[in-house]
Amino acid sequence: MTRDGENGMNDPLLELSDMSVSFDVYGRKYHVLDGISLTVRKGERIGLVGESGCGKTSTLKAILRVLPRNAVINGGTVSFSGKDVYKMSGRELDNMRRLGAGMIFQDPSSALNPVFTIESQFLTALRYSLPPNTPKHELYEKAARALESVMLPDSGRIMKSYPYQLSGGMKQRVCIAMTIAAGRELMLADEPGTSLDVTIQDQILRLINQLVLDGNIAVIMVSHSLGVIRESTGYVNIMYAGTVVESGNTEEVFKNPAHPYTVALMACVPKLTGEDLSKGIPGRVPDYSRPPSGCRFSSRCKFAKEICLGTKPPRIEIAPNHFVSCYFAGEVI
Amino acid sequence: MDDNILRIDNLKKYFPLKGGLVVKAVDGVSLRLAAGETLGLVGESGSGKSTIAYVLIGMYEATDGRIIYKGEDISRGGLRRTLKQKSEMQIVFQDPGSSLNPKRTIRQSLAVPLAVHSKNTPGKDLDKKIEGLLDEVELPLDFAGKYPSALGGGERQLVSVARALAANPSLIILDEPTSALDVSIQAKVISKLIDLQHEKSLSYLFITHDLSLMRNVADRVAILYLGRLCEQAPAPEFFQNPLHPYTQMLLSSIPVVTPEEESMKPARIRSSGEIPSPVNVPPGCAFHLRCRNKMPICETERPLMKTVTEGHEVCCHLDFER
Amino acid sequence: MSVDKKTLKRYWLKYSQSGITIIGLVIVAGFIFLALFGKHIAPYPDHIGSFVDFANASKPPSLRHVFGTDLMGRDILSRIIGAFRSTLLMGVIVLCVSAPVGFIVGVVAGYNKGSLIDTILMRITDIFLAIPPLVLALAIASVLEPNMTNSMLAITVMWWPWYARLSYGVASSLRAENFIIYSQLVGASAPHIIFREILPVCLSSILTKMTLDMGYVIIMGATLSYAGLGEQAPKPALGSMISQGVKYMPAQWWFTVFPALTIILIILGFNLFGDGISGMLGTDEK
Repeated sequence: MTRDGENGMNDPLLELSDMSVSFDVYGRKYHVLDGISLTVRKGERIGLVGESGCGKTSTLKAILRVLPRNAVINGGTVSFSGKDVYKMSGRELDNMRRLGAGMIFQDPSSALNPVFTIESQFLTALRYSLPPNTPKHELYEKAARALESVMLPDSGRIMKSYPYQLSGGMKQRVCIAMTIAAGRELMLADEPGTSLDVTIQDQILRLINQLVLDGNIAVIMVSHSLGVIRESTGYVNIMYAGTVVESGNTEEVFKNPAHPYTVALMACVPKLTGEDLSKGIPGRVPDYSRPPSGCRFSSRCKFAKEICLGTKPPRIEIAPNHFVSCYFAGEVI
Repeated sequence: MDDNILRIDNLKKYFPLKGGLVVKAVDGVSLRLAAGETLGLVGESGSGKSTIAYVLIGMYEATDGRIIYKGEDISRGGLRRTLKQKSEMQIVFQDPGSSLNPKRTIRQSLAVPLAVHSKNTPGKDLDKKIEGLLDEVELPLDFAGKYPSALGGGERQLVSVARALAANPSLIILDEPTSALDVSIQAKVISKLIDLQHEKSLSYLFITHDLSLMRNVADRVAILYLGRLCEQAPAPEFFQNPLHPYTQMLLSSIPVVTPEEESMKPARIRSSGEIPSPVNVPPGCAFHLRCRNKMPICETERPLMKTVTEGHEVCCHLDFER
Repeated sequence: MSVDKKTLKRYWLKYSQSGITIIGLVIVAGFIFLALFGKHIAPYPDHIGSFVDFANASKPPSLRHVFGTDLMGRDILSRIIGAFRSTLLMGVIVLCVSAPVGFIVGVVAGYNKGSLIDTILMRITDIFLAIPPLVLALAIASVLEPNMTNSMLAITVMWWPWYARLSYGVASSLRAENFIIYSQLVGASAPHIIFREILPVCLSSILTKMTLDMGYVIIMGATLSYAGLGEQAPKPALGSMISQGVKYMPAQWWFTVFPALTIILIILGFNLFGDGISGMLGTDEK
């Protein structure tokens, strides 16, 4: 899975640097993202993996600037094609969402309106993305081509269908087609296979991989499943409690996990080989309204020393393109 | 002597729809479960795995077939079972959000099975018993006064397990007990379940869509597809030598985390097609529409379960002679 | 269940989310306070009963009589305050009878959804809902002797079906929840399931509806008394004060306008208060 590096030389499509976000809930501040940095280039497949509540989805929302109203940006920038997303005008922001970055969701059923046909939803979405006077037959052709590219060859029938007439896997394919039809450069996939059966998830993941290989689309794949991330990304970010604890080329990170959290998490994944399952990770995720000043994993880490509690560990490159935010990276494992 | 505590013979559960259509949710399933054993029942959505659980606990009445529990036929009568029968077989549901009443404390929730199954327990004894139950699943005792919203998903599932234990059962049906949980929490709940099984020699019917979990949990694995069994084998044999084309497709679809696991997947089997609606089960073998080994006979004739090696049964027209 | 300071603060924050609900709380608290102690606070307590002072009759609002005086020379402000007690009593009694009755009917029907009991109970409920509420109340109140008790009875008869519908909806959706299924499986009795499992879950939506309904019950009571079917003279009632004053519009406008504004204010108050309560008891997000 080294193909992701091939296009690595071109300019970054999306860059998050040191993004920090907090939510105000009933007068309390919850620091949900703490210094997230990401770079996505054309043709890359970037993974964000972590357990529920670790900030994966908030990161995607921050990228599209669709955080809830009570969210406060405490620092950092998001830039898309070199432009600061949080300094964009309304029109530039619309353009980014219509032509630049699109999102697909965990539950394809709720992403489609049940009372309209696929055709009407698809063409409406395309009309916003393409020049205003594009004739309808051209929109239709574009939609049909997109449906074919997601392996839904019978596009005429699909277009006439209502969402309830399609299976979950087909709906997810339709959502993907709607995202790529207007020629977007970046797809944010939020757990795209999680609500589907495993054999269907497999098909969807293979489809997304194929789309990245074929065209110039880049993908940020968000999942709670390490297996999904391993099989569908070239570069992975392991998230814990609003921070990226480890990142690197997927193959390398899975072969040589270095952060204690990554190691503990891997031990919790049931394996086909029947290796002994770990008894879980002791303790709880820290209170986001009073996060520890040091490493956020320190309270659950069996290697934690005094220094871990005090100040945030630096991001260390322990191998080429393999970064770990831990004082003892590479030593403890 | 029959050492199986549960036998299911040719169980069928049909749901009639308007217009004469019938959903064949469970269509002739036979299973057995020995005392102290874990049977993993694996299937995708629409396979009928939860329907089997609901028929077993009496929520649905079986359309046909027999359920023999400790020698007694309990396939008729739905919920009209004796209290003893009800307490013998308990269930833990999938969704930790809905299995506990959000407006009642953990103590109140745990008191229900205790009150029903050991009447006239004085208040002090009740408190002691509740503490004992929490202790058994290693939850802090002060959880008794809390509401479910104050607990995490894994902790709620452990409370559900404690509630099941309160009735002193021999068999617990685990209906996807961990599929809504994160893996680190899942690992904790699973290890607790395994410990409890050894301590109390419980039998588990573990229902799940997650085949990878079964290697660690189940003694035997059975695969369901559209209300029918495809394959059944002891777990080690099952993972080393999967025979049914559907099992192979399922195994090869699992996203895995190590190269060793990758090498266990049946090579180059790509999943294709989708599970058809149970209203419209294809004739012959239910899987033939997606099967890469399809033969003409598969379209017309329903295959029978055949034993390949001791304990390893496959329902397929292919010839598995070794 | 102990309520500590932190919990109270949370409730307050949730109640006051939209700010405007605080106004509702002030109005409702003031109304209840006046209803309880109005007899001692009103500027002319004896004007609340059968008092006559023709020398001061039909005086417009002044410093002595802020809301003016009526035909008999009684202080209108005192009479409005005097009417609060029966107004509050009307709301409280009607809701405290109709909510439990409606709950039982709705839950029993919802819990046995699809059975004969369900059909019978809910068809009866539907019949009551189908008759325009005011017509039904007017009919009942006019057949019976016109007094406070009978007008409360009339409103209660038309009010419980709403609670039956509400509880029916909650109960029939709860039936599919695993904790209800579990209670059935383990062998718990129907009363246990209805009162121990379903009631606590329904309670917040019932309480919210009760606070929101308070205003409507009061307006319904005022309507009946406007038609002469409520509290009888010389006892003051907001509705009858309006109906008697309306003949003297627009010259003696204060006869009508102040009681009417009071009703509007009370209803507004209970509505805002109900919004706050619904925010407070609503589902916890974080």
